[in-house]
Amino acid sequence: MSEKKQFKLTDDLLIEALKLEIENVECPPAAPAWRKINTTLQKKAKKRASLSIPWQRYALAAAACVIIIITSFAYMNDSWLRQISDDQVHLFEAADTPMMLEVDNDQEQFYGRGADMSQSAIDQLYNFASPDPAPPDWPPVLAGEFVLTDMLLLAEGSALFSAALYHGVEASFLIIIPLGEEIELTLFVQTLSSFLAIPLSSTTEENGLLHFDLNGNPGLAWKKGTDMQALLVIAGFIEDEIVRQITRDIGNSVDGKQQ
Amino acid sequence: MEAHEIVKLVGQNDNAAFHQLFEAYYKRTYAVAYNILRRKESAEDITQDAFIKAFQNLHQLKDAAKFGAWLAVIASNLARNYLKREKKVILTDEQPEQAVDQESAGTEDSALHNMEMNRIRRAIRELPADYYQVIVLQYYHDLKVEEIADMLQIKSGTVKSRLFRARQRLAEILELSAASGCLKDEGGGTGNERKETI
Repeated sequence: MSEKKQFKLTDDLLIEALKLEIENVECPPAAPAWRKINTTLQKKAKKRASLSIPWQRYALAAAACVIIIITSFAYMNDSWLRQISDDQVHLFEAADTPMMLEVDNDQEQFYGRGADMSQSAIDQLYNFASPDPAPPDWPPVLAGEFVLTDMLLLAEGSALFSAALYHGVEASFLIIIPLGEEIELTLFVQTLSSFLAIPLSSTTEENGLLHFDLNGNPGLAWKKGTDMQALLVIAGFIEDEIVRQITRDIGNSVDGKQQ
Repeated sequence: MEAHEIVKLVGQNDNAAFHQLFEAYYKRTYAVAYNILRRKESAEDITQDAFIKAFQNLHQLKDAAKFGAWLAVIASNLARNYLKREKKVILTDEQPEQAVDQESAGTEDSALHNMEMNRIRRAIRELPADYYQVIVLQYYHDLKVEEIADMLQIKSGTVKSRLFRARQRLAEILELSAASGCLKDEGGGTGNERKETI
């Protein structure tokens, strides 16, 4: 107890001694010291300013060039996409493809609450998938804004699924087909959920179409004869009108039960 | 100067603010440099360099209220580097110790207290620069171990060990000075040399 008291006292004395050491030092006058500091600071500021002007000019010029290039590219790209999109819309209007899916209000909600658009969701996908070196000729060209960007193999030892990755402005999704033996539609979705390590939140079967939800990512699976396909939104929102369009496109290659 | 005033001046970041900060911290920054170097001219140069460095790197200061401690770190680091660069024991121009607590100097208790103070001050001067640095930051600037570690960019464990060794060293010096009868007056022990520990 007495040792503790002694120790505390020493601390107090130490603080007092330090205060004396620091605050009682005989100090040279402050004014000349400040003049020197101020002069040095101003010189350095001028030097920096003179150095920064050419740098800023170059930076401005470079920024202007980048903006012009990006704007031109975006304009060209947009015109090209619009042209393709217009062509396809025209094509589908001409073709008498069966209406595969009747989207009701529930489905509108379903597709409206897709996961947030994020690059991480897409990056995560590549943890399970690798580019398909010899992609099959099945993925359809979709109308509207969606562009096929990658063909993937989802493999665990042997290849389990083949997938086509589509990107649009507001959403990204996969169209997936199983590569193994014929299985039930529900098992197909369960295997997919297990493979992607995303829990299967819900499934609803309606008119031969299996609506499912992989932890907030809405999806739709269906069967044509022995062939199966699934559409899984991995990021963003897909409006019901666009789903109609996509299913019309895919309707060329699969049968859905029409209402 | 109050903490909120310091924060305001640091945020202001202009010449007028720099001048006020300089006025507020000049003496104690000089003292830190002087207590390491024990040479007036070198301490004056180091103090000016410390202010210039601080004002130019003000954006690096994490907590504006700790400006004083941060400046002390800059000054003590510059002083320590100066010692390393010089690689020699610097001949000092020691200041005379100023009277402690003049008002109560008449009583026996206060005379004993003054003698005790002088002993501790001499012991502090004999501390190696890096021990002195942590002692000042903890006891004078009232920083926590983690804050000292952050400012000095060393591990908390290193700060703790330096503080422990500094206190141990102080105790040794004080014991020695008591044993050799240095308690009686100001003349005992040179206390003039500050070495950089390796």
